[in-house]
Amino acid sequence: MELLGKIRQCLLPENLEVHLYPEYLHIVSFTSIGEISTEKMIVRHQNGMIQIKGKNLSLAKLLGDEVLIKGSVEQIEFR
Amino acid sequence: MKNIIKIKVTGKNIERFLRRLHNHKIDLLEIKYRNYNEVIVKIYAKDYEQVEKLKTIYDVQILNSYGWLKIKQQFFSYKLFFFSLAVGACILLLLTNVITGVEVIHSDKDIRTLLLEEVEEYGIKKFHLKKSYDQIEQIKKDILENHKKELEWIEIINIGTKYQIKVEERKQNQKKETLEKRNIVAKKPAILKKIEAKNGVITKEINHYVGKGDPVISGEIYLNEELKDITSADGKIYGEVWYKSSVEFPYLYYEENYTGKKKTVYQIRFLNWQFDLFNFHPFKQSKKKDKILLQHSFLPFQLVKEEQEEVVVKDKIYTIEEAITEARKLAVKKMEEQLDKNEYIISTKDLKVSTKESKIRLDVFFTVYEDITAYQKIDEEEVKKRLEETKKE
Repeated sequence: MELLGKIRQCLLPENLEVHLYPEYLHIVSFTSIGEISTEKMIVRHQNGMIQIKGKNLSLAKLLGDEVLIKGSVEQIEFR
Repeated sequence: MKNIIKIKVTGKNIERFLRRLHNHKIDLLEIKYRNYNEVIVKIYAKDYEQVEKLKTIYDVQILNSYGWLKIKQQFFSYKLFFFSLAVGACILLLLTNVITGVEVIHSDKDIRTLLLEEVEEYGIKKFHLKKSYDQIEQIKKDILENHKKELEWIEIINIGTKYQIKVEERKQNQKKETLEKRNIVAKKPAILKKIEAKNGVITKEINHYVGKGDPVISGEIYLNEELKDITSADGKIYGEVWYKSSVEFPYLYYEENYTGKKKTVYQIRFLNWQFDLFNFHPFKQSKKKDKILLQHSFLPFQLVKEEQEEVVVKDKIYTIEEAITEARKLAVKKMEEQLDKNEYIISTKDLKVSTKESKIRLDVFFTVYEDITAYQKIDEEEVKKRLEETKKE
C-alpha cells in the first residue's frame, strides 16, 4: 500500500512541489495566483504563499493546480 | 486526440483575465506574451465557449486549431481536392481493372476463334472487368474440360489491361496407315542430295543423277540375289532440281495493301475545311466511305460518318536496274512460296532481260533443293514373274 501511495504521489502529487529550472519555475498543487507582474509573482497554496522575485517573469502555462513561470528567478520566498 | 485552439487575447491587464480563466477551471496550455496587452494562449476547444462568456472587455480571436478539429477544417477547406482525388482514384482503379484487349497466340485461326468465343462466354472480353486469379484458374479448367479433344494446355496471362491466351493444341495420334508395298522413286529429274530411308533398301548414291520414276529406296529386299521380302519403302529423298521462271515487272509500279485496320470517324465539314472528331491517331493513307448524317440546305455545313480502312500505297517509277532487281526479288518470292520449310533455293541466274512496252521481262534460272519423294506401287505378281524369268535364264 505504501508503494501504491508513492506511485500515486508521483503521478498525482497532492503536496506542494516547486521545481526550479533555468529560465523556468514549476509549481504543483497551488490554489490560486495572487499578484502577477514582470518582477514579482505571488502563488498561493493551502499552507501559505510563495513570493517569486526576478526579471521578465511571465506565466507560461496554467493547468489546474500546476503553473509554469517563465523568466529569470532571483528569489523564492515561502510564507 | 484532444482539440486545441490557439487564441489571441487583447486588452489591458491581461494577467487579470488569465487569472479569471484559471479560476473558472480553464486550462491554459501555453501562454506567450507578444506585448504587455496582447497574449497568445492555447486552450482546449471545449473551453472556448466559456472564454467567450468571460471575455468582457477583452478581445478574443481564434488564430489556429490543432487535433481533429484542424484535420476536419483542413479536410473541408480542401474538399474539392479530396473529392477529385477520390474520383480520380476510382477512375484509375476502374481503368486498370477493365479489359482492353484479348489476344490468342496460336497459328491456327480455328483455335483462335474457338478460344476467343469460349473466353467471351466467361466474360473475358473488351470493356469488361478483369477476373481474379481463382476465376482465371476455374475458366482455364472449364475450357480444357469442354475441349478435351482439341486442347492440350492453356494459359491466360494478364498483361496490364490485356489478356494474352497461350494454347497448345492436342495432336491426335493418327492411326498408322496400312501401307501398301511400294518403292520410293524420284518425282522429277534431279541430282540426289539427301536420302532419309526409314524402311527399304537404298539403290542410288548421293550426287548421282536420277530421272523421273527412278527407284531410290526399294521395297524389294534381296539377299544373295534372292528376293526375301517385299515391304513398303518409307523415307524421304531430296535432290537438286532446276527451274526456269519468267517474271514481268512494270517501270511504273502502283500497289495498295490493306493493313486490316478499320475505324469509323465522325467529321465536320465546312466549305473545304474538315475536322475529325475524336480521331486521335489518324491513318496516314486510307480508303474512305462517306455517309452524310446532317447537312444544312443553305449553309455549306455537313456532319459526316466516314468508314476508313487503312492502306499502304506503294507508288514508284523504277529505273531499269531497279526494275530488274525488283523483278528478281519477285521471282525469288514466287519460287519460295512454292517451297516447303525443308526446301530452299540453292542459286539463281538471270538468263534474259527484255523490255516490253512499259514492263521488263526477266527470265531466271533457279537451282533448288527440293523434296522429290514419289511412290511407286510394287506389283508382287510381276516381281515374282520377273524373278522366275531371271532364274530360267
